[in-house]
Amino acid sequence: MKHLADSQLALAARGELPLPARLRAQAHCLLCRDCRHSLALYRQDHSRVQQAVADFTLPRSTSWPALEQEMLANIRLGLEVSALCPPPPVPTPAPAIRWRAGVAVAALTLIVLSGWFLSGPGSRPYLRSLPGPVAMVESGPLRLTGGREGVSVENRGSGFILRHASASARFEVGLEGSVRASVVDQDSGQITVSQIYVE
Amino acid sequence: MSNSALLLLLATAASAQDGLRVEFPPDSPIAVVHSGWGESRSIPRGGATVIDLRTSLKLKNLSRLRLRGISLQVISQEVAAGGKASVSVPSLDVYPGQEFPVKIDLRLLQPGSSGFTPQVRVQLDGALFEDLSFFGPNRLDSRRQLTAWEVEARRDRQYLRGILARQGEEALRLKLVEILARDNSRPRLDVRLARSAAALPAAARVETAFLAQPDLAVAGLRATATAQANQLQILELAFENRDRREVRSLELGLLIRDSEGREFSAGSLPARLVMRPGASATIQPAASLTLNRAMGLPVRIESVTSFIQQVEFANGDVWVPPGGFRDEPRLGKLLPGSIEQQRLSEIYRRKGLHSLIEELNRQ
Repeated sequence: MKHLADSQLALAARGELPLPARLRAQAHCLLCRDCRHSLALYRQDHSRVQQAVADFTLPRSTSWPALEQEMLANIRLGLEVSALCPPPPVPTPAPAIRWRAGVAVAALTLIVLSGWFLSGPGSRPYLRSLPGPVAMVESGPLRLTGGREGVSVENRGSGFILRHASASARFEVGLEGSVRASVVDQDSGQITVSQIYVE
Repeated sequence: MSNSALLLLLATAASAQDGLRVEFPPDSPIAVVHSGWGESRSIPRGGATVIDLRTSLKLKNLSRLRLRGISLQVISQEVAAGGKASVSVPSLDVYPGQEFPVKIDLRLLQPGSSGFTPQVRVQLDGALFEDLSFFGPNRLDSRRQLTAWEVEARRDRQYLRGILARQGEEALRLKLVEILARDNSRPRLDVRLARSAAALPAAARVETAFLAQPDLAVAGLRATATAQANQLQILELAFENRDRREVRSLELGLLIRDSEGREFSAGSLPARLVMRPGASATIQPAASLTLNRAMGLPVRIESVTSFIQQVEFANGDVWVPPGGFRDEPRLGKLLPGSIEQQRLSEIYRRKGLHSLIEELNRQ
């Protein structure tokens, strides 16, 4: 007998299989003890993760009824203000720009964009534009950053990134002036720790 | 000439042409079998050049001991003056004579577009073996770091093996699910650190405390910190050595509580601190931290709690907290697991329980 795939078991545990597949999986589990056991394990995992999420406590000050009241009050205030104030005058349409003016504006835009593109890293910090930096150390002109792409050192427009392949890196800032990222390599299973420091 | 020296010379010569220099000491117990940039490319970006350099060094353990960890220093003075970097691989189990890879994936940015590839030097900073003996120049404090990671790894593997032996596979599986669930639900902070001794202009004193930890070799005596909204400055920390061995350095963990009563882990503070038995010493970190939650929401800092997460002694021993330390409910929610826990939970997540058990039994 062919067992259910892990992906089918995981979907079945969450009740997310389409109806025909769900019926087939249920019928199979009636006959197959291994798959029944695996399904029970997946369900336990699912409920534990849900429990962990449910255990997450909101800050003391977050009171949903108070927030609801505040939002309703803001909406009422908005309605009252709009009733008291006359509607703003409808702007008259601006005269259409002649085609010569359009060409001039386009040329000017092109010049500005070219200048911005060619101005180099002094004004365009590529290494700084890592998506979502979560850790940063600044020491004079030197900047260390940890983000989704890796950990980077930058000094006046030049620098380098030690990149990691996984988005699930863990970061830590050292108060002596360092940023560290640890990530598990998907191919080798090795854990690699990339660290940058201020000298 | 020994085999290692010959291999070193060959590796250095082969890679010198393409801007990579791999430099291991001639008496190193780790040899370079192969080096050189693999898939590399250079992309002009405006007035600058971005150079992607990828290498997988092939190294060989020439010692008679199993290798547990290695740390390499990566230097490129032409593009990052004032900064230094390292790539470390802990939790290894490389037998004598065995080869192993270390990947380095580097992106360099330099002004101009001359086509010149900057020189990148990769040097051995340290190698740690199964008996915790260490080899290397230790410029980046790799000895303390690799030893601490190895001691933590042994502690965590023993802890998980204990669960497996006493309570069976199901209990081990539940433990791993708990570790993964904690990792996903842990509150995260954006931490920005500015290295400067200048005081915050309108800062006020905040409450400070040391966490009560049993059997501590070093006790925290007092801490002084000030905060201004989401900026924190730790002015002074004082410690006492209660062990018979001389202390060489320690590493603190920091927990922050905000005005809403939420707590966060805000990084670590490694400090070189020589203390003879019974002596006390202070440190004054010259830095201020700015802490934000997701979406840039500032954390209004109300108190700081410190705890000791590593002590290094002058004889090379390293103390780390016992295995159950992170199981305490408050800390479990805040502190990330060890490097080894991260590796083992990833094995469970990707390959399942039986691969994890094989891994635990292997080492």
